[in-house]
Amino acid sequence: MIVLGIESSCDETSVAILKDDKLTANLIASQDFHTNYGGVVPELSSRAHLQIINPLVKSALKKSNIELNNVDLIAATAGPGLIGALLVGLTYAKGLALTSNKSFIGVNHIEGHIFSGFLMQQKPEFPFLSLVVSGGHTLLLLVNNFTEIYKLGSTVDDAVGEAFDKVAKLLGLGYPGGPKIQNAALQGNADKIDFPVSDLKQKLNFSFSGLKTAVLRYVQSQGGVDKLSIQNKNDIAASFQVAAVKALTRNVKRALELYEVKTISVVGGVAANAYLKSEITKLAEKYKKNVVIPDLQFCGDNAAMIAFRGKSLYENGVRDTLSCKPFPSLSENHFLEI
Amino acid sequence: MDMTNYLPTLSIETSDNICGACVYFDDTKYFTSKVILKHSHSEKLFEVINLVMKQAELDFSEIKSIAVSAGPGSFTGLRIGMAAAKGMAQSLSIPIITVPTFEALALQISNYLPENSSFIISNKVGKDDLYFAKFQINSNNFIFQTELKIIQKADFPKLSNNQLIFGNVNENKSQENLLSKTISAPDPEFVAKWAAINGDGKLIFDFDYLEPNYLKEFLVKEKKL
Repeated sequence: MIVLGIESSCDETSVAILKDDKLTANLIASQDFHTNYGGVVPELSSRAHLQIINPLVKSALKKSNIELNNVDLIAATAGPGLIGALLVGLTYAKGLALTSNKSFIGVNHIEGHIFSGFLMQQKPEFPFLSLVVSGGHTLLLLVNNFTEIYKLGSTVDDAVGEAFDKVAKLLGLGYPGGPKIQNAALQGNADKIDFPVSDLKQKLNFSFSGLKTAVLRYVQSQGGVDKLSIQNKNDIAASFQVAAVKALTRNVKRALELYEVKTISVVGGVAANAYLKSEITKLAEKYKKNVVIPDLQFCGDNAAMIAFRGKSLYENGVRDTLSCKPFPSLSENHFLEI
Repeated sequence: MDMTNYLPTLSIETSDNICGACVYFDDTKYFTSKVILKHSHSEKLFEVINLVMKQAELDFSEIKSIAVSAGPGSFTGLRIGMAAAKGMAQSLSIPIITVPTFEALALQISNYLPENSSFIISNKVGKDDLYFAKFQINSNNFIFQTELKIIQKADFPKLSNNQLIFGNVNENKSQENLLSKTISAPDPEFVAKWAAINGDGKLIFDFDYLEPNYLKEFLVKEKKL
């Protein structure tokens, strides 16, 4: 079975081809110009997607030595994401599917991330605990199989990646925040400042807005960002990173006490954070679980995970019509309640 | 390149409130359909295309070109049309024709107006500006009296004084001419017809980096944290 995957939910245009279980192409065109604006500008993002999508599809087919005719399924991200950006990839994919008479599935981007561990050599084993950490989402899920996903917890305010971005901006470190904070933290002393880790009534939920505010207050107490030395900034970054990761690992630990799982999988852009990886790995060793954290190319937004998710749905009998709608956000009850 | 070799064309109109498609052979044989429903172009477009293809009893392999309404218009709407056009043209290995939206609309309007009459088409861009063009009917066709451009809303009354006005600039305003109020985008058959008339030499085979005619440069406004 050959799947063509298309992803355009934010600032990466990506096209992938999955041939049976082998990924033959996973091309990612990143829109680096957004760094000039300190965040993604939706209109510019949409314009760039429309320019690059066709050449990217042609390159992916060529690289895989496949004709469009040989493709069985076209899978494109339907949401969540920026509507204008989603519309480009989704509508292009529908156009391809209609005229080439292929099956079509509109894939949920978060579900793409959840199963992105399956693109790795060592795959998650069901049931697994999935921690989705990105700029838009922070979710803790229990995944029993490809169609049964339970939500255990989610953020009540900011996503963890958003907190990284905001703190990086606050410290004048630039965008995107994840790598900037991580690099600064390497030179910093994490014990310098004790930032709070909020504890919510719903034990498996997350909150990052208090942490972000605590960083802001601390910076203000030091006389503002202009008064901070590079070492100060590094210390703040390191202390923030420890607090943010602690908030994540603490809930993973709680979930491990409550639910029997075989694997812990951490996915999404923040899964690229080395400190988070090492803390999760420690936790997994303690509880004797496997850990699957996808490689960098599968952590960020990519079409390989969209193709894989499309395939797993297809094999479970799912098909979408070309009236499939894009959606900006995950509905509150998208995942099953435990 | 002779356009007759590239008919039937499949036209797409998504620049404004209309979501439509037309399979067009010539002026005596075409199959057209449209829906008017906001924020649903991406969902409805393929239903509309399927419908006209079914009516025409055609297979997609028999379509020779895609004529897409290329703007100006709603940025998102234009991108829906262009993204669909690229996907279809890529899979069918056929060329795209980018149809100037206001010219297709002028072509449509020229059907109803007497020789030498002039009219304005003006659609909203943002809060303060408008797309604006002035046309005159000339031997069953139209010519530009004022090239398509963006004007300030404040200048509109002066520029449109005593003129017949089409476009969504009329919205919420009582206007004597009822016809003009309802038209802000061409029907899909006129997008196709413009392509059939003007398509010679305008067929685009390499559409990799093709963009709609946004007309307006997008400026990023600084936002305070």
